[in-house]
Amino acid sequence: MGRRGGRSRSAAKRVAARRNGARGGRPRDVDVLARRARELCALLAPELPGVDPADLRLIVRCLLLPPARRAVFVARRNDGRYVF
Amino acid sequence: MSSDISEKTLVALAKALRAAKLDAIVIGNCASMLDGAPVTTQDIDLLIRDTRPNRRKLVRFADEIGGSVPMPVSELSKVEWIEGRLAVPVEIHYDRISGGLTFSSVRSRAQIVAVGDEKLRVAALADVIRSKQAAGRPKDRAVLPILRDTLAVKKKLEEGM
Repeated sequence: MGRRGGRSRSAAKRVAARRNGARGGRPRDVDVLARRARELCALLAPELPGVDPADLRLIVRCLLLPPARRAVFVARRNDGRYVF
Repeated sequence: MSSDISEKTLVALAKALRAAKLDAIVIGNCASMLDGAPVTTQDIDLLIRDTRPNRRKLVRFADEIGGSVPMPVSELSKVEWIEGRLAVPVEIHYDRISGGLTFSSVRSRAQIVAVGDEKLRVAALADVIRSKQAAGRPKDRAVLPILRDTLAVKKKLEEGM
């Protein structure tokens, strides 16, 4: 049991999410972001035929996020493993 | 999507730069990320002017991030690095970077980017591309296609698509 990204807000899921350190529930703007990315990609794709569609989706998605949320650092932990 | 670690790292970096009053520009792949390119990195590159006051401010900055004094990356290079409490090390470049780009020229095209309640000065994506093209190392060449695509998308969006 954990945070599965669905719309259900059962008490068990909320408790599991809190235990995992997450806020719980589906991220609030996820549908808005997905829809906006899809719309922009549909507009841009014909204008940029040289850009791979999967790359275009990644780029558009990044550009729609606030700058601080675009960053992904790969950090090496003391045990030698890498975390994001 | 960014992790909590990455976001906190950027905010801590900006806070430390502000506390040290160090005029620094984020360059390299960290700048690419903040400019919207879907890439990752294992360090933060900063470009600063090599002046005596800045050297003092750099020591303060290192202290702010719980780091050591800046250490040379190699004997052949002027680049220094600081290992601190941030999730990734910070590399310091002085005065200029590959592609004939000086601090002033990069700064003139850089943008101020908000991270949390803080701000960072971030190099323009076109400058990052130019510097990576000139550096020409395999790791630079590998990332160039996605950076060029990102720049093309940004230009289309600015044209008012």
